[in-house]
Amino acid sequence: MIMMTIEELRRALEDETMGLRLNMSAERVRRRARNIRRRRLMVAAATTLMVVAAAGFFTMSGTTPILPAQAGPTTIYYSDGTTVLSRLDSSSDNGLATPVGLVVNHVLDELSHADGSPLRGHSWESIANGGYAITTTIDQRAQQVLEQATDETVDNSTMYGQSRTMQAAGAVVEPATGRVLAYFGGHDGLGNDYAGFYVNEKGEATGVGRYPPGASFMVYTLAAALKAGYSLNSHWLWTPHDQPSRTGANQIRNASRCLSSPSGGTCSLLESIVSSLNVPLYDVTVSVGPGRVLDMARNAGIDTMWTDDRTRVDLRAVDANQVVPSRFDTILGIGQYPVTVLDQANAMATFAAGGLRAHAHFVRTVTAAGDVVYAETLPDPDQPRLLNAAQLADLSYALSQSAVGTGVALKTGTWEYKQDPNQNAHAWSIGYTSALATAIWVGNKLEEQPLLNRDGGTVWGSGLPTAILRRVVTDTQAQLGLQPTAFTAPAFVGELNPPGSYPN
Amino acid sequence: MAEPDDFAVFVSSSSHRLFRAASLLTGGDIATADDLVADALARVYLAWPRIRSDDAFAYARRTVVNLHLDWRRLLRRRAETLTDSVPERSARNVDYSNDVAQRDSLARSLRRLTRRERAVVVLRYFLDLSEEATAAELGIAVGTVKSTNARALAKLRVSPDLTGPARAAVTTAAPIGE
Repeated sequence: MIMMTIEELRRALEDETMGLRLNMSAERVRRRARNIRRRRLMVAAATTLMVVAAAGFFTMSGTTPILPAQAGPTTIYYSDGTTVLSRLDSSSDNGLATPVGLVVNHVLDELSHADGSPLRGHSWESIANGGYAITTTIDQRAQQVLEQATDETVDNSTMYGQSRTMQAAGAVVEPATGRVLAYFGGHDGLGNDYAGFYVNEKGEATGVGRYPPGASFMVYTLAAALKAGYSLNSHWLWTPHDQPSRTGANQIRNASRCLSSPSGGTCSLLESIVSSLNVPLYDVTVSVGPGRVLDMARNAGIDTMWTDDRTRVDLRAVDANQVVPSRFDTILGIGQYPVTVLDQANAMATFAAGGLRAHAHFVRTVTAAGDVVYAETLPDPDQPRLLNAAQLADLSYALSQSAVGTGVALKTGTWEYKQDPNQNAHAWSIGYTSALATAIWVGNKLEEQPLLNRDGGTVWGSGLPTAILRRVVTDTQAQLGLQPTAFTAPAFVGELNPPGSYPN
Repeated sequence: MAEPDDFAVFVSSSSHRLFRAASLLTGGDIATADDLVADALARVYLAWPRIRSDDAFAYARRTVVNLHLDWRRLLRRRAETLTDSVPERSARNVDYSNDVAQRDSLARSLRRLTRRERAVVVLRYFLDLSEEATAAELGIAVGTVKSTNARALAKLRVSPDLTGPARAAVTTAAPIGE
């Protein structure tokens, strides 16, 4: 290893910043100073009001209120409740600039917005200064595994040495509880969140972690088809042809072939999924109904989706019929509309848990002065399942054909580069075992450009993202001592000749 | 045209150096560095009547470093850059992206340091403060500056013992065209 001298460090620091120019006008500084002065006045006024209000509260109630807690910095812990993830004080080692700094945003989002949170509506600053002890769902071991696989600055990570313009993001969710065990939205906890978004105290969505899912969305299309009673063995025309709203030069194309009839013709639903064939899956979406596919995605865990003009739609707040086809057209079945990495992991968790849907969350408990004032909400184990056991067995079977022998059900997805359909801009791998659900995305840090790995090869979902996913699943299960149960053998339930398919 | 006032002169003479220090502190995140300098200068402006002009740079420098270490500002800054629809890929100024990529090497190593480690390195070797002055600036013990500095140098692969010629020998020994 070549070492630098102190003098070389000095020179490097100079060189590094040599070309930097800043046109800072005194006017901009004055304007900002006025804002700061206004803010200081407001804080002073608010503090006075709070003191007055708190005094009144104490006298009126006569009992010890749960809130406000003892003032002081709030501490955020990993799921073991003892290892500190971040202490929200002004020290330089508060952890906010590390990957888990992004978790802190989600924690504050949850506590200031969740139903049943005693801190609902509170400012982030007051939560940070409230002296609370917050135990998160983040498992330190799982977090470490995820970072070691996805963080480009970690020496032996899968992303290490790849193009500096590339970025990976990932999330790991525990099935049946929705606990986010690990979250990687970027190396810099103060920078962009590439794995999702959070809502700040002003109600604004913040983060960049949503991308077109491509064929990874076919998981929901397949699940909707199985629920509608379509068999894995139903056959569909895979050769490009005129389809509703996609005719002539605008026909849907495939990025691969059907292995059992490579020259064209029909392909089974099972094989179409394994080969990520767009043409048959579009017909399946038309036949099942795009609204039902969207419902399946939403019910599995896709809370949010973005339209072509980048409007955020909270799927929990709308009826599928209100938004299909006006905002999301049939193309949704092959993954045109952006979704977050975290939502994809959450949806995988639903299938991993036998169709039991939980809500992805980051907070387990909050204590104030030793008393638990907030605890996570877990799903009712008796709530209806998304699919029946036979349909789930078929789903897991189909998805595990892409990774035979690994015991992982997974689906890859790739979305093309805008300016050149032969190149890719987004690559996904999402999957589950009975013990763990994971979603991995690889794409660009900034402007969209073709994704090339360090050997110059095009990045597909089956490349870097799947390498990361396998590593994360294997290592996390080993670290946590999880022993997933094997998937049930497929039942091949359903109709062999559903509408829109070709007779068997 | 009005004569530029003291403060305007101070801004134009100090902002470059502050900006360069801030960009090192933020590990090459120029958008944040820009914000940091604007914030620090605004605070200098508010305190301007109390500051003697020869102290102004030191005051501004200390403010840049301390704001960099202040988590409350971090929360606030992020809160300020938000939009209701999630922004296009980057939350930062697109104009900076090329520069960010070009400056990636040292910036990347700097990013591996903790915020305090970065602060110590920048104060000691870019702003040329002594260990004592660095300690005073950060409000920590001299011993802490020493240990933090040693940790940071190790991470940056800088040897405090290595002198010029030794390095030159290593360089000549390295294969050409590497």
